[in-house]
Amino acid sequence: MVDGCRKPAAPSSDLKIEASITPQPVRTGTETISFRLLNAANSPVTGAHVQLEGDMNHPGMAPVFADAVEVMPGDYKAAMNFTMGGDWTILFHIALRDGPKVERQMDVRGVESN
Amino acid sequence: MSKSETATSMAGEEDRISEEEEFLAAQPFDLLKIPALGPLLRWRHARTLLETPLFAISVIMIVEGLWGPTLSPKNLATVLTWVHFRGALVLAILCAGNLFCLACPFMLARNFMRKWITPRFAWPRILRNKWIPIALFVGVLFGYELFGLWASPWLTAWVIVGYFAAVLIVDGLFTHGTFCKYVCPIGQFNFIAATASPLEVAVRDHDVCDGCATKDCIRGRRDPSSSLVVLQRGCELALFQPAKVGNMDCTFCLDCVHACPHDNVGILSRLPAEELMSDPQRSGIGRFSRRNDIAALAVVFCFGALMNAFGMVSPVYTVEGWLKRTLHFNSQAGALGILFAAVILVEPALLLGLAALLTRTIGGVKSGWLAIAVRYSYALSPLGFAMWLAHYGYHFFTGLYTIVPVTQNALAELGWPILGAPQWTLVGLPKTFVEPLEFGFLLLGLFGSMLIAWRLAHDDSREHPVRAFLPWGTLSVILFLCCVWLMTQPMDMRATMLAG
Repeated sequence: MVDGCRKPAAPSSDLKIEASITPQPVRTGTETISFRLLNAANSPVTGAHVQLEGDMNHPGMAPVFADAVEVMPGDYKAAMNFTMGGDWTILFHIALRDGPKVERQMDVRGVESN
Repeated sequence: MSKSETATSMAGEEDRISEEEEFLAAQPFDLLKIPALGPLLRWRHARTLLETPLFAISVIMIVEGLWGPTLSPKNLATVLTWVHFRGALVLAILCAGNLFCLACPFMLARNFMRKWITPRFAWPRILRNKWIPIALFVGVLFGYELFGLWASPWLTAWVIVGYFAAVLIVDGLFTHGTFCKYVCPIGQFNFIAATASPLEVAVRDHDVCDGCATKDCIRGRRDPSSSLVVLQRGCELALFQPAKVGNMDCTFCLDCVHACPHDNVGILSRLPAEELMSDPQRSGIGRFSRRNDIAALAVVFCFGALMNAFGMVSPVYTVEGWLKRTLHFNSQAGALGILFAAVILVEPALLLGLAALLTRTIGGVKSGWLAIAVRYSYALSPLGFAMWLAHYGYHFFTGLYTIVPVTQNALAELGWPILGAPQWTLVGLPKTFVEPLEFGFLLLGLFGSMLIAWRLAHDDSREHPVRAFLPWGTLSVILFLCCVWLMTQPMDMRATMLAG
C-alpha cells in the first residue's frame, strides 16, 4: 500500500525516513503513520518537529494535517485522517532540532472507502 | 388645436406608447445592448482581447506543468485545468453561453499563424460531420481515466501542448474553421451543452436580413481594391445568420456581429433548450433528425457524463474487480475499454433502442425505430449537461479557493513571494452548500429532458402523446436516478483507475 519514500522537488539532505501505516489496508478515517528518521550514518534523528500534510492526488481537495509525536528516540507517530478514498501523498514537513527544514514525500495508493 | 383634437392626439400618443411598450416587452434581452459591455464586444478586436489572457494562462500552465511542483494539488496546470477551467466552462454555458470558445486561446495562436500561412485545402467532404470529434471526445475521457490526467501536471501540460499543435496543424492545412467544426472535442462539448444556454447569437430583425444584398455575415467583407484582402471574416463555421437556429456549431466568435453592415446581429436571450424542442432546417447543419452524428454526440455527451463521474467513485473498483475475475483480464486498458464500451455504447444502444421501439409500438409513431431514437436522443442533452454541471460544479465550488495558495506557491518558487506564504488550508465552499446545488442542477436537467421529450412526443403523436412520451420520460427518470446515485457515492480517485 505504501509505495515508499522518494525525494520531493523541495529541499533535500541526507535525512532518510522509513514509514508505515497501520492498520492495513488503509481505509478512510484515522490511520496511524509511524516513521523513523535516520541520518546519513543510519543513526536516529531525535528532537525533530514533524508536521504531516496529506493531499489527494486530485486537485481541489482539502489537505489534512497532523503533528507527529516522538515516541522513542528517532521514532515518530502521527494520526492522520484520510477523508476520502483514492490515492494520497503524504508530505513530511520536518524541522530538525538544529534548525534546517527538510521535506519528504510518501505515496499512499488506493485508500479504500468505508 | 381644439379640445377634441387634443384628446384624439393624446389618445393616439398613448396608443403609440402602449404599442412601443409592447414591442419593447417582446424584444429579447440583448447582451450587446448592455452599456460598456455591448460596445466592448462589438469592438473588432474584442475576441483577441478576451483570448489574450487565456492564452497567457495557457502558457503559464504549460510551463508550470512541465517544470513546476510534481504534486497535482500544488500545480497551476492541474488545479486550473481540472478544477477551475472545467467548472467555469459549464457554469458559463449555464448562465450565458459558449463563452470559452469566444475566448479560446487556441484560436489566438491559430489566427496569428494565419497571418503568414494561408491554408490551401478544403476539409474532405466525407469528414464533414461529428464522428471524428466524437471519437476524440471519447478518447479524451478514456485517456483521462487510464492515465489519471488529473494527477499529473506533466501530462496535463502535454495535453495543452498537443491541443495547440493539433489546432495549428489542422487549421494550417485546411480552410475556414475546420478545427472548431470538425475536430475539436471541447468545441463539440460546448456546442451540445450550449443548446441549454439562455443566450444565442441571432438576428435581431429578420426583415432587415430580407433586404440585405451583401450577406456579409457569412461572406465577410473584402477590400474593394483587392479581393484577396479580407477586411472582416464572415462565419467560418458556415452558419448563415438569417437561417441559423440555436447554438449548435456557434463559437460565439462574433465575426457575424462585426461583419453585419446593418448592426442586426445580437446576443439574444431565449428559452434554454428551446432549440431542441423542434426540428427546423438549420444553416450549416440541416435538420437534427437527419444528423445521426450529432445525435450520437448528444448520446455520448449524456452517457459520457455518467462514465466520467463513475470513474471517480468507489463502486467502479468493485466492477473492475468483477471484470478482472470474470474475464481473467489483466490489461488495464482492456478492462477500462470494456467498461467504456458498456456505458457509452451498449447501454445507450439498448436503452434508446428499447425506448424507440416502445414509442413506435405503443405510441403509434410511424417512423422507423432508428429515426425515432435519433430524434429523441437530443432530449437527453439537458440531463447530460446537468450531470456535467453537478460533477464539474462540485470540483469547482469545493476547490474554488485552491487557486490562491497554488499561485502563492508558484510565485514563491520563482523567488517573488509578493502574495505571501501559501495558505494551503484555503480550499473552497462547504459541501453543505455545494451538494444541494448539485441536486438542483440534476432536477433542472430532468425537467428539461422531460419537457423536450414531451414536446417531441406531442408533435409526433397527436392521438397518443402520453404513450409516445412515456418511454423517454421513463428513460430520463432512470438516468436521473443513476446521476443521483453516482453523486451520493463516496469519492475514490485513483491515478490509474484500474490500479486497484
